[in-house]
Amino acid sequence: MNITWRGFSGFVFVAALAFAAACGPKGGAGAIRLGVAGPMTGDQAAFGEEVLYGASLAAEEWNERGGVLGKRIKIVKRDDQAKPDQATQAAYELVSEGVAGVIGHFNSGCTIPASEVYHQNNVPMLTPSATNPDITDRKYANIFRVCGRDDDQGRTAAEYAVKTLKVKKVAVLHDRTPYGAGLTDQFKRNIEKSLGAKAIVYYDGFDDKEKFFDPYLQEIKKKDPDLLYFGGIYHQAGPLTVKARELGLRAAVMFGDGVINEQYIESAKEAAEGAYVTFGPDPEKIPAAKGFLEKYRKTYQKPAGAYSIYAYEAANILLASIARAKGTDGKAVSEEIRRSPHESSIGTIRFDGKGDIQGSYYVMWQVRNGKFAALQ
Amino acid sequence: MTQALVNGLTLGAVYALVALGYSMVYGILGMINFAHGEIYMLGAFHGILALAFAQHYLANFSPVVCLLGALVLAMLFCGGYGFTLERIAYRPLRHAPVLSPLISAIGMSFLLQNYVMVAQGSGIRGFPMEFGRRLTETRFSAFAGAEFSLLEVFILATSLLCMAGLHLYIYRSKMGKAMRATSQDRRMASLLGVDVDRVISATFIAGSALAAVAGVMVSMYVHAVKFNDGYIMGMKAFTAAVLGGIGNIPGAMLGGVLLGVVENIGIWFLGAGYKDAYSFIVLLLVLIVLPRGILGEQVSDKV
Amino acid sequence: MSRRFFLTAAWLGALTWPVLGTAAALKLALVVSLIPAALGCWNALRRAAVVPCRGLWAALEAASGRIPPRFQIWGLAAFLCVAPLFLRHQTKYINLATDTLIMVLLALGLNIVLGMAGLFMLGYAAFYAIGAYAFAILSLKFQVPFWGGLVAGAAAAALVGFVVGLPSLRLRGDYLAIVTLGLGETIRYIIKNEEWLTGGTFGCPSRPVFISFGLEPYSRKIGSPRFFGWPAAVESIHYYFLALAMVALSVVAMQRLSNSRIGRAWVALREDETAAQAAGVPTVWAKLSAFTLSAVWAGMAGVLYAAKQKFLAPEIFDFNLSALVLSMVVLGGMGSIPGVVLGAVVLQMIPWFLRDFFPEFQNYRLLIYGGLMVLMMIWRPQGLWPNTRRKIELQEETDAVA
Repeated sequence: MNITWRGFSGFVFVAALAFAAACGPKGGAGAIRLGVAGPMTGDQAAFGEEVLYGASLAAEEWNERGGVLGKRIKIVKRDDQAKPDQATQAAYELVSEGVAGVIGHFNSGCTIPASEVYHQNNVPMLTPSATNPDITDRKYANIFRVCGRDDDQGRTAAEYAVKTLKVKKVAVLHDRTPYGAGLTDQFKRNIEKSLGAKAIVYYDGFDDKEKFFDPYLQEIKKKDPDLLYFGGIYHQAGPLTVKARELGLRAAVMFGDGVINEQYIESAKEAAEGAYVTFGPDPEKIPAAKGFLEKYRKTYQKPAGAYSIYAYEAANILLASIARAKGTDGKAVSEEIRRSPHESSIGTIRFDGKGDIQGSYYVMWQVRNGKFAALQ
Repeated sequence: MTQALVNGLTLGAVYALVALGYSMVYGILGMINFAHGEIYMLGAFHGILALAFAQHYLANFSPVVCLLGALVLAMLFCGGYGFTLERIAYRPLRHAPVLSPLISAIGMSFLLQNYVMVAQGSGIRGFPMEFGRRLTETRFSAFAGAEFSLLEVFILATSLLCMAGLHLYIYRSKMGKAMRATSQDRRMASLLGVDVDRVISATFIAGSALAAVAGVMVSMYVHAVKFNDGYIMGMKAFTAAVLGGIGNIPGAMLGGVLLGVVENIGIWFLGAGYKDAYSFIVLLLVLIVLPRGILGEQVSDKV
Repeated sequence: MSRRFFLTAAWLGALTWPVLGTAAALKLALVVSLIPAALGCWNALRRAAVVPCRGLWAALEAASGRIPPRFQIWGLAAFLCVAPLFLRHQTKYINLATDTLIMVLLALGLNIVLGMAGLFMLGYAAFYAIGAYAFAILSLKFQVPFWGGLVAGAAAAALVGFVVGLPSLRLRGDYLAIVTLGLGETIRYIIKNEEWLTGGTFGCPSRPVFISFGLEPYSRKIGSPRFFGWPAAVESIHYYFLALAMVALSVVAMQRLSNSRIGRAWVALREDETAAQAAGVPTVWAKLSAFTLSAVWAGMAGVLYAAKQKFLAPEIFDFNLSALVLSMVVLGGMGSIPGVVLGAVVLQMIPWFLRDFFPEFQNYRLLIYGGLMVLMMIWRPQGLWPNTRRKIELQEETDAVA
């Protein structure tokens, strides 16, 4: 069978007709659609999953209570593969699906381009995890963040390093992603402010696929710092920690929230012991969050991921605001989200003019006995 | 500087092992086996899986025996993967236009990567460190403040051993002779009674086994493996193979070591930002002077 | 036959056992050993279904054969113009179609250097990146309007294309491939590292401004984008029509190019460089013009992408994109213009199709995609829609040998 112009154009017409029939006006207007976007496949799929499960749990609870405005909630998930171009396509797809709001995206690099699409189409978006300041600094009315900002996180980390750990010399590494480079930049700035520029004895960023850390760590060891700060994701942080210990680097290690995943401890094993990580307050210690954590464990047969509760509360805020706005109009819902304080299992959440959570957010965690534990 | 040389040598030995696979296949089939990096990644996974098994069930065995066993198993399985890869994706395209097997190789690379991701998860898999502890903890210091570990010596020694083994195989065995004949003129070799299909299979098996050795050793060195690790290694090894003169076996070794050293000295001088570009820049400079690589035959195309 | 399949099944099961685990490896072996049975069913199905299918194809051919080809092409064009207006609230289809058209532009551009001139280039994404970033930077820092940016982006890409083409004067075949790959990756590293110019890893926004025919893209004042005064719901419909127009013009331009003096020089270069040189074909000029023109197309596609996407990041332009465009050209049929268009559409549609219609296979999407690439290549090694002229040329050659 050879493809010829004659048969081909006939085929195109038939295919087009079939396509038109397939994607004609769809039914299912009865449900309120809630978009969830994040890396569902690829090397950050674990993060995408915990966000999806957290949001799904919220939707289920609302459905048990009879839905919102008498309609059921339906979760529509989209995979952005942690890539900015896929994130835009995912955003367009969610908008086409007519979602009332979006929980996501996970990575800062994906959230920024995707939020442009949501902004154009007036769809409220709440990210449970993306920490780059640019996301809300553009002051889009419908873009919110239910977690901290990198400038806050970098400041918390630097303050802890200076005041509690009393470090004098700091080595800084990052993974050249918008998240890692942005975070370490904030950290570095804060350290320089309190200790002077000389306190940073090493500063460099390698590719986020780099595996051979020896050259950097050997240079760092020669400078003999008190603290090694790395802005990146757990799959580099684990081997990096092991290598640092193996080369005899005695400095304390500190990371951002991209490391708060079981896989970090699994891969670094006893080398992980004592590592510092900045993250939000520990939900295990908040009585109100106990119910969520229990339910999550029961529903999905695994403990909740670090971001699950933020996705869960983001979904709750969105759905409650839809209920209060008495409709799914993006503008009204966004105004509602911004206006009122939201009672949640992680405390009362108020948004400021930019769409960030008001007040400071980060606390220091440490790996103790093979587990992440919040200090105080 | 000395430290950069030591690191570069270790890394370069690994690049060379993987580059050999590219070079052998290119020498015989004239095609770039883009899926070779994935074989390297599979090697690392098989080594780790075998050691995890040993950790549970063979706790009384000495770590050295376990490690060698894991190496052999990884070589066997990767040889199997290389053989299967050629049978499924390349043999049907043997007489197709030049670029068709390349696309099939890219497809196979996607397939293998995602096969591992689906089966073994998308996260990192840590190397069971109990087996390499003795190697990583024994450290030596060399002159000028440089230091290295027994593991680095082990990697270098194993690589050299493998290359020597390959050299003997190619220049002393009957199959090696057939390989050399096939790479010179495939049609002529088959007319003279060489079973070309078998030679090609043997090439893939040998190249893949070497990549498996590299995979196990690197995963021990960097403590972890991930499903998409093969891509960068494949790219680097391919560059190394071309640098040395593709199709040329000593060239692949030389290219690998040169690349490793250049990268590490580059980091030491100029920082990590352009790390992956240094190798390409060196490649470009070398190819402008020697268009067929360092050890490639500097002849023009046959007319 | 079935014994062979049984052996294959046992082999694959044993091979995949460590990675897949016992249960999944057994399942795989079972599936493979069932292939003969499946083939039997397939043959039965063929008799039952494929024969009518072929009849249908023949009927289509006969039916559309009555319509002169010119009308068919106009019909296709009319369909491509009108359909999006009905789908204008389905932004995902518009965006997908625009992305596909941009990929078509890229594949057409690569086809110049790869299919027509036979120069093996990897790293084509770099030219695309140059066009996109040139436009983004100009629009952001100097408020250059779209059309000016288009020219500037294409020119910047052409310049880089010319420079990348220089090594081709000395290198051949796979050596050229790896050098172009290296230069492409180096350009990506420059984009990633030079933060003052390109925004580095944080990415670079673009601010497209149109000053032409009824296209009023989104702006905060208008509220929603309009198309000839008609609310378009989504801005990308502008880019769809822009891309469609560019693809149409490109197809015409390519057709003309391949029959022109330079096109024939490229064919001569592809078939035998030494002979071409001996026959007086200016090979230096032919090679450099192939690289430069090819880069122009990538640059234009990049500008369109930057304007549509409004945000660029260096990892968009990685080797995977180059490999994808290369696959489109080879899979479609090197040197064949309808083939390249078809290849681009097919490879762009498969992931979307798998995602939209088989969402439960999400994790297997790329696995299936890779498998399909291998199968399609084995099924049609010459490409889906091979170049007829090349086929005739090769036919003559084998005839001459015979």
